[in-house]
Amino acid sequence: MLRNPFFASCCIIFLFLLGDTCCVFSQVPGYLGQKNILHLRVTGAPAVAYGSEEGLWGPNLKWGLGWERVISRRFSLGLVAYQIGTKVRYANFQKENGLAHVWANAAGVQIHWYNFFKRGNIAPIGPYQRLEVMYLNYRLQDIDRKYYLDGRENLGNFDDLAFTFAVGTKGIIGTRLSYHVGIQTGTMMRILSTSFISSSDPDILGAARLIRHMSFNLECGIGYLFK
Amino acid sequence: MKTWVYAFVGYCILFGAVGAQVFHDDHRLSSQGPIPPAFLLSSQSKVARALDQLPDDEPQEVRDLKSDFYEESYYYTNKLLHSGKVLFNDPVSTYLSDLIDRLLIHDPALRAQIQVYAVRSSNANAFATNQGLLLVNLGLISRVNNEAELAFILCHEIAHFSRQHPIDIYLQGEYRKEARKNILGKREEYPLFERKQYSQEKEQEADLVGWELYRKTPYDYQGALGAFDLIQTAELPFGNTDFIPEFLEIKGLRFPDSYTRATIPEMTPLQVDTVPDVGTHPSTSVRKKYLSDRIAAYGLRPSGTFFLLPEKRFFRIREVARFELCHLYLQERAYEPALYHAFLLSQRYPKHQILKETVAYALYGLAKYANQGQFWDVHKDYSVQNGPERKLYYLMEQLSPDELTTLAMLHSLECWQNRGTAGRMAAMTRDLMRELGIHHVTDVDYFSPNVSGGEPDNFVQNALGDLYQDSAFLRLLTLEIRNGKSIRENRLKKEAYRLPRTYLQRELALKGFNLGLKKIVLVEPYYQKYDERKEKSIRYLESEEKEQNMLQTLEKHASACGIQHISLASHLLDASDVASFRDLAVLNEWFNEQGLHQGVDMISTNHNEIYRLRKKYQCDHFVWVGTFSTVTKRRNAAFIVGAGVVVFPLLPIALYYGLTPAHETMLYASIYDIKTGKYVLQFPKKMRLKDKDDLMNSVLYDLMYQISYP
Repeated sequence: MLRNPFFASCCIIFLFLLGDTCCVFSQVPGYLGQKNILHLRVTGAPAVAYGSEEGLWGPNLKWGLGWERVISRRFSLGLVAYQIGTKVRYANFQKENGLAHVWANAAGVQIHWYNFFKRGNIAPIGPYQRLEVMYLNYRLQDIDRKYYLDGRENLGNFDDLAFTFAVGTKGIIGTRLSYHVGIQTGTMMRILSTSFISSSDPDILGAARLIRHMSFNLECGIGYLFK
Repeated sequence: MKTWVYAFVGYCILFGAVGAQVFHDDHRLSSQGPIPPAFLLSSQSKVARALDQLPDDEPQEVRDLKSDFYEESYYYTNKLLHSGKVLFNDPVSTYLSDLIDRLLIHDPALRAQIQVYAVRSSNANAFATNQGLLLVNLGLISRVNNEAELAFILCHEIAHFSRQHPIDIYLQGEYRKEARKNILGKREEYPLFERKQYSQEKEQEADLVGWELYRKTPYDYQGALGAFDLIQTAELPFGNTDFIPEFLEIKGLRFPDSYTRATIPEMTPLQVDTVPDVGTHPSTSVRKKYLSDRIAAYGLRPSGTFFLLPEKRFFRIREVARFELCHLYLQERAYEPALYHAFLLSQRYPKHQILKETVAYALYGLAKYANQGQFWDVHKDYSVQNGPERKLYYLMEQLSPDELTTLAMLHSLECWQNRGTAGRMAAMTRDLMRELGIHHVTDVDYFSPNVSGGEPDNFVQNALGDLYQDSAFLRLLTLEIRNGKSIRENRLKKEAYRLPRTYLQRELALKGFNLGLKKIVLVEPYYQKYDERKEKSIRYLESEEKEQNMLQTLEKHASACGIQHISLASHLLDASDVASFRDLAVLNEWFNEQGLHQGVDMISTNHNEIYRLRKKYQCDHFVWVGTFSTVTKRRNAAFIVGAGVVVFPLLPIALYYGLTPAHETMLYASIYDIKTGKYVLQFPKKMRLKDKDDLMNSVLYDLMYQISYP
């Protein structure tokens, strides 16, 4: 649905209007009056490798850059962008194995809700839950050039909608720097595809790899607070 | 010759004025002059100094135990000193100090270590700390019969200090716990009986050492024995005059005979003697007998000396303490004891304005509680009363809430008229008139006199007497009754349309309070850290440090939120800031009093003083902030770690959960509007988090933000 630019824009506007409405009806203290955080986040699966096979070793990381603005005592709303790089092993129609890079870029909105009622912390510090809804674009780059007979490198560009959910805790160092640690899980819409398990199409291959990659991660990040 | 006569007359006038001033002045006892160093030093510096004085060869375990004792003892002593309850350079403390000078005239070294102060407490008690502070409650001074009795009590307390009993009892307790650990495998409180026994031994030792000190003075030995009689009757009033109900009759209000029929039992001493081992002190009769035996062994004869300082001074000081005692009872919600003691004093000072105001306030308190249906919170059953005050308790029990309110209103009105100025009495009178409108009366006709000549159904009908002809009074009464009625109607409306409490709390928590205040007074914050995993759970020195830091944080955030603020805290004072110290004392008193009246909207006893502070600081809003931070063991930690092993990706979180303790931080803030005498905000915030700097910064900033946000 988000492929429709109009619909995607509507969603984003709706979320910001929601945030703006919350601002009108509640006082927003932020942290010492600072309501914005620019943060850099890195997430990684507990196994720091793409897979167990030869050639698949490498850091299993996802880099994120985000901005969040506190909109009430328990919510903050913002934008986020991720960059993911991983590898996947495929078998072509001749049953030959090959290796392909999966490059993915994602951008979307994030909403944090802090445990204001349960724990008593006020946004943007303390334990939180976070939901991210992102438009995700990924492409497969064939390293061995065996997938297609013509040996082309680009196996295709694909779009999807990704969701992540995270729980963690955020703290402040001094008055300007924030840090956060937590765990994150996520998935993509393509998991609902009927041919998801059996298909060897590049888009499904890439999606399957990304879904495994997103399924469980530890995350940590640092941020900068400003008014 | 003429010059001498003039000089003599002048002296008499001056002396009379000074002598009378102490208890004819409206101002209550308060601290004067420079603040003594003991009030200004922090517990941290006191502990450091005490540890420096320990001998170098002291074993480390003993040193640690002593350090624990110093921390606890200095912390609580400082809390007491900063509360404003302890008076310095006032007439009573000065008198006590002069008395100690006489007692220790031959031991200047010991005298130099001792400081004595009066404490604003109604309990008949005195105590000594390990640092040489002798604290004597006004409740005790108001009950002593002569200086010799007081001198013996002081000698007893000096003995506690000179023999270092407080630390001795503490160390003994710790050693015995350790001994039990060797036997039972764990440290454990040693049995109550043993503990009390050891304390009782020390009390007997203090009696003995105190007696030796007392014996060196010219006082009559009867003074020492009299002190024990005093202890036995410590809970009883200082007089034994039958209460006369007519004392409370006013204007046209006359009590029916049925209201005054209580029979009066004989006054009996306290019953503690029958169970000698319950307290930390031995049985009084045992102590008295022990001392009597020693006196007999010495073959002493009565010296007839009961006063070394001028006798007149003693009685003046005792009278001051008795007047103050009435006020203390009012603050403690002990309205009937306040009434009875005011009655006793009025036998000597029948027209004294302070006594009349004491009576008016005591009746006001009883009426307010009765109207709220909480009369029994402040009243004790007349049948368990021990002495001549029983008739008073019986009378109060018979009066219905409307009768009590009318009675209180008339007494307040009389005090207001006598004073002629607006203030506490005026506010109370109007409040009581409103109370009539809220709870009992719809119109002033309720008070129309019974003209038929027969017995009225309700004696309140004739209560106003000639006031019923006073048009100004009737106008005011009509107005306030009408106000009261509208308050009642508003309350009923609110009840009818009340949203669920949880919903309101949730909404308020999310949206904030929007107080829009521009100026506040930050009153000494409170911080206490507990570590429940440890045997000594309170972290005293850390708590004190956090208190000071919290005030700085509050000041910083108040400035950031654009609030003008004035800070009143004991650690900010220097020796010359006695005025601020007194202000703090008044505020603490007021705050504690408000805390007692849960659910009853009362005008405070120090209403006038609080109004003075309002003018002084040009601010209506006073803010109290406190924090309690606790660390406890986690429940089910082992289970969570086990679950983490099974669901291995969650192991880091499970380990973190299992290996770290649980934290809880409770922040409360109370903001009072002095002008209305009501809470503007009561802000309890419970956080299941550690009181780290960022969290505290966040919530304290939020608090200031809510205060400032329009």
